[in-house]
Amino acid sequence: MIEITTHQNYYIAKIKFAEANMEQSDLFKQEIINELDSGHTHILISFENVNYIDSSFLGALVTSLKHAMAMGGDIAVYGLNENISQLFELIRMNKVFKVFKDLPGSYQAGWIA
Amino acid sequence: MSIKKTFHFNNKSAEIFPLMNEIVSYIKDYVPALSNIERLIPYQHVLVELLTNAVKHAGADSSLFSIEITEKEVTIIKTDNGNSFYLNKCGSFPLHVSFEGQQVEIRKDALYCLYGIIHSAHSLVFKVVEYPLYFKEEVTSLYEHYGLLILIKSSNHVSYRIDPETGLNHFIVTIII
Repeated sequence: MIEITTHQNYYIAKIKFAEANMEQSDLFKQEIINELDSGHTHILISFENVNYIDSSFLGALVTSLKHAMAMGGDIAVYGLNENISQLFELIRMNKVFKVFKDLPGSYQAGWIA
Repeated sequence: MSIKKTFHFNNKSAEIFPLMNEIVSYIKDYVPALSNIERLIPYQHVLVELLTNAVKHAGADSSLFSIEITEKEVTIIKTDNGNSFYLNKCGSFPLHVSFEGQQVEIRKDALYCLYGIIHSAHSLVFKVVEYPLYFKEEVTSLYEHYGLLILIKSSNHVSYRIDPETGLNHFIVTIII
């Protein structure tokens, strides 16, 4: 469901499906939480493969972010298409998640672009 | 001009995106102003959320999606015979007449408060009030349910009505073209 790679001092979780919806949200959330619990506390989620996202998946993202923050970590997002980017802006998820157009250089008390 | 078409949905999650694409394509064919793909995005969001709502919350085997197009607006109506809308502070529809005219809080967190303005025992209109997010720590208080919020923010008017005769539920979303 997600492919984990490392980049500088954080982890990239690349979503491997095109429609991020209620069918994937529970398993996705569990996989991200497992990564966080294994010590990968700073995760950049890549949406490069994703065409659409729904409210269920957004809920899973927020749950994951809360879990990360409780551990002193953080979750950012990357590679949003126009459809998903508009949705993030519309409901102000761009104020909740740091949104990157390019891979950030590193994480040092905040994401460094 | 007024055109109407009804689409049947089997309330299966695998059909959400195919049906969304079919309905968006229908709307696009009749509204030249929506030939720009970016202008179709709100319609996609509204349809995905209504279809998802049908799968998750309706408690029905199927639902109908009626699309009404005029020169000024597109109205999307989701109809089913499942569970009526539930308000924590008032219970299920139909509501007691004493609630008529009240603005009832549905959900509140650090970013939003969703309200229902009760028009009658059988209908309400949804409304949202936004708050600034001052501190990242406030994220911990956020709700994790965004369907209704996306419907309200992607459109110009969202309401719910239960037909007193048939008991059918209608979610009605209007987008001005």
